[in-house]
Amino acid sequence: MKKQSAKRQGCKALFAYEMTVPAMAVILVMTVYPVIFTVLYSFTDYNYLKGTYSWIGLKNYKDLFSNAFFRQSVWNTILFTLIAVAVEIVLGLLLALYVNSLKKGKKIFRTLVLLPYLLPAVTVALIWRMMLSPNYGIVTHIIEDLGIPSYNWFYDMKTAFGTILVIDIWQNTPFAFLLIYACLQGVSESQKEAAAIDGAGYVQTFRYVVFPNISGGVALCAMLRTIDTFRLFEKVNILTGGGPAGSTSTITQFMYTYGIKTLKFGFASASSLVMTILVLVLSAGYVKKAISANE
Amino acid sequence: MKIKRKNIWITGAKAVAGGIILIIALFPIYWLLLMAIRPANQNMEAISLIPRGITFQYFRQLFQDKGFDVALKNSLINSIVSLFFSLVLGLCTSYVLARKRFDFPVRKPMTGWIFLIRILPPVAFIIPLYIIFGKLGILETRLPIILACILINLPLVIWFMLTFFKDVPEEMEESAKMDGASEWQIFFKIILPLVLPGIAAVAMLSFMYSWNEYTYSIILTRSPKNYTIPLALAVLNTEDNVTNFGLVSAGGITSFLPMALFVLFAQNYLISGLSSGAVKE
Amino acid sequence: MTLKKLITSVLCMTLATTVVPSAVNVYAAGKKEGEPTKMTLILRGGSYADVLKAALPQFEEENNCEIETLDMSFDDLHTGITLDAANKEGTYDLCMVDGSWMAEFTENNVLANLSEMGYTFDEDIIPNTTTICKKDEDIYLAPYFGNVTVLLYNKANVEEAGYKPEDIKTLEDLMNVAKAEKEAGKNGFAYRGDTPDNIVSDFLPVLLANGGWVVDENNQPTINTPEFKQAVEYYTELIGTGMAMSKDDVSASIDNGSSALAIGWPGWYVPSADSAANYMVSPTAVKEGAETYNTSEYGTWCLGIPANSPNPDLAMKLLQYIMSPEVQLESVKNGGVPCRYSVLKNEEILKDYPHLSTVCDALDQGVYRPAIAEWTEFTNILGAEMGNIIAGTKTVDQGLKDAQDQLENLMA
Repeated sequence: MKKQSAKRQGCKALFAYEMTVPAMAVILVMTVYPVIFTVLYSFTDYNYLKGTYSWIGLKNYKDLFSNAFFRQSVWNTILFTLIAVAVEIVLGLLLALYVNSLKKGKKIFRTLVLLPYLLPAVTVALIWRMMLSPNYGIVTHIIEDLGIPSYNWFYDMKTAFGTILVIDIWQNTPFAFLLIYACLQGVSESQKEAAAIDGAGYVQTFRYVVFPNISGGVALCAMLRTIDTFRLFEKVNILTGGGPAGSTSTITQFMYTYGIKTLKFGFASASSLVMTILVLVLSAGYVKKAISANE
Repeated sequence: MKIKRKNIWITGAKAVAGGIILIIALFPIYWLLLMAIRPANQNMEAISLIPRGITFQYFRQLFQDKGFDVALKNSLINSIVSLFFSLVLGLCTSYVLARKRFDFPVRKPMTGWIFLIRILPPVAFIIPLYIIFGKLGILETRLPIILACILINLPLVIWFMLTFFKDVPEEMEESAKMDGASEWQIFFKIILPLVLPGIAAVAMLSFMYSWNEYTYSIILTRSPKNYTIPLALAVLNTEDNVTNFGLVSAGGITSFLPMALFVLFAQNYLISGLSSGAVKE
Repeated sequence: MTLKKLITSVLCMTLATTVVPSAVNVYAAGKKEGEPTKMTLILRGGSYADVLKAALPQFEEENNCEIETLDMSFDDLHTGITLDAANKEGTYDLCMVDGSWMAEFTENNVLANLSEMGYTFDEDIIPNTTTICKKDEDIYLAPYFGNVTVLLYNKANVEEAGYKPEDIKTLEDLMNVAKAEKEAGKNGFAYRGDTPDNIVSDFLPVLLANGGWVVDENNQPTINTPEFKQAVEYYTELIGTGMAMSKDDVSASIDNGSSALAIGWPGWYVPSADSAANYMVSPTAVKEGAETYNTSEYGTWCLGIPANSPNPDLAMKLLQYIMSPEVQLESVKNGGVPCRYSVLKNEEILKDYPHLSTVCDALDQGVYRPAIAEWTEFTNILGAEMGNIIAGTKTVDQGLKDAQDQLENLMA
């Protein structure tokens, strides 16, 4: 009896290794060197073209935090991420509930609302630039026809940040919708019926039956969106280049202009690490939950 | 009677809401399409909602002069190959990580590391990867881009599927084991079919990430024969010339169509996955 | 299940047919006798690359070679050249280079010394365009595509303001037109307000006309100087008559008459006798009687040979071929703008492309952005502070002082 269970234990371990070793091999080979490189070089003034570097301690980090553009970019990015992710999840949830309640045309509707998410970010930026152009933009024309004052959307301090936010939400809400919708399919009708028999209203059913089933999906969605929104770059780069007066610049945009374009890879590495820590902090809630649930 | 009237109101309100949602979601895409098929010199002028005349000159130009034919082929190959590997490797790993009974020493650090990879910004990886691939002498091939896409998508698949695997009750596996099924049989025959909706969703997302991958591709490509769609698109948007919106729009539509088709296909899978099991009863 | 099998087998086949051979290819890439030489060029995508590519087939035929070209966006071109420069054996035989990268490239031996390889400039090439191509008399670059800032204007709007285009000679005239048009309910002066780089580019012609510059002879920043301040104050007043736009909007609004004036590039607009807009050399002095300066800012695309080019001899031959007067003359038909008098003053050519005469004048009086290795960072800092001033989040004095401090730090 004892022998058999030991054998089973061995089988199980073998299976576990067979399943994970290939993926881990790929990941380790491709990440160990880069991560070490990034950490080490963040303490140097590495010059790629000359191939030289010397240790400069924390200078890159000091420069980073004393840089007013960087501080502004960090603040913009955090604000942008918090608002965008929250709005996307709320809209995505409403959309998922709406589509789920449809009796006809569910499938086609689902496909259609997903489409914005499929466009490359570059294309999205260009469409919106065309539509919001003060000269030939359709949105500007409609707004003017309605007699509402129009703005110079991308170049006005008052509107630039909000305009990019709206564009990002337009594109990424379908992602939240998709994930939450997939989770909603796990809520069984019988549970809902049971709740209804117990006299629960719509809100109560949602609160006690539906939400517990999709909370995992909402959290996953929040994390993935946080990670991706934190990297926001293409839209900003094409639409405003971080302007006006840095009001739309993001960390990646900063890193790109001040680290990659200038080939200051030590500085870029330092900002990558700072950015990573910020994302970790922002998604800490989820990480904690995920890791404790995995124990 | 009263209930019926209320239903009509609800149905009506729902239809109106649906219409508004669709307009918001689709109008920009419709606009993009219009730009792509409008005859030249109409783009900057008076706007009309319905095109006056249709032209395919921009698409022709893209495929004849701008190398979109090669780019399309490359993008398809890169995305499909990297998706295949990400899914195979990722699903296996994710399943093991989701199950407490497969406990082995490095499980915890491994989970953490995979998570970390996903959140490190790509710019942190580009230069070291370029150096590695250069040393290996594979920069002239498409391998670096495929590997980079796998690097992006593998952690995504693992983390995404963790949620789905965990929702499958472990008792199911226990009872299958009682019936004498091996671990492999349980995984393939019982577990995977149950998480199909998740697989379909994550496959779609992964495909999208690799289809739109730009940051790695631009650094890791040294030959025009490996150009992908996002790289070809980036060149269309030049600084010192006025943007040719027709061309850019046609490029946008071209980059978007394969994705849309893929989603349709993945959606069918999603549906079959959903109907195959009211899993979580 | 059959569907699954089908997908799996299709995938396996794609894998087998793509990944494996391409990996093998690398190791079997040795060149056989008589086979054409492979060359790779890295170019700025768009019209620049297209013009150059049109000239290649003839060269390929004559020299038994196959040429591949990589079309890149501006920033990616820079990254692409520099990343490859650190490799012992390079990939590229010829590269397009923006003047502002020159100092960085020569400092780090990215480019081959063309003089040593036997390249010289003939008298026909506009002398001013070659100033950035040399370092201590040694040639590193050849000016291929003449690109220079000009003043775009809407003909009707200028007339409405009571001016003839040829009478806009000074910044004072420019301001008068802009203000008159603002009063007429239009945008007087449209400007680009997006990236730090574009903000600086748009402003430099005004700075030059004021006799200011961004650095002194020792490459130390001269931002906090009276000339610079005067130029900024003028510029903020000027842009107050219009609004910030993207480049597409700038040219569209000049064309449709909603804006009167803008600084732009010839590539944005192709004027004709009956077109609504045209361009000219930007004002060269503050006001009548004041000292005049060269105020046109170069954006010329030059050609260079990477120091680690795999086929340097053939690359030199290609460079000489592309830069030859005959090939350059031919390139005009494809939209090329050679920096050669024999082309830009050619009566035959001017008959079909009259605007090239303006371009020639501007090229004659052009100024390159300073040749400093830190230029990318320099322009980032300056542009960002200019952006703050334009948006009103900083006063002129504060913004210029902050820029000066940071730039001194950078150039120290």
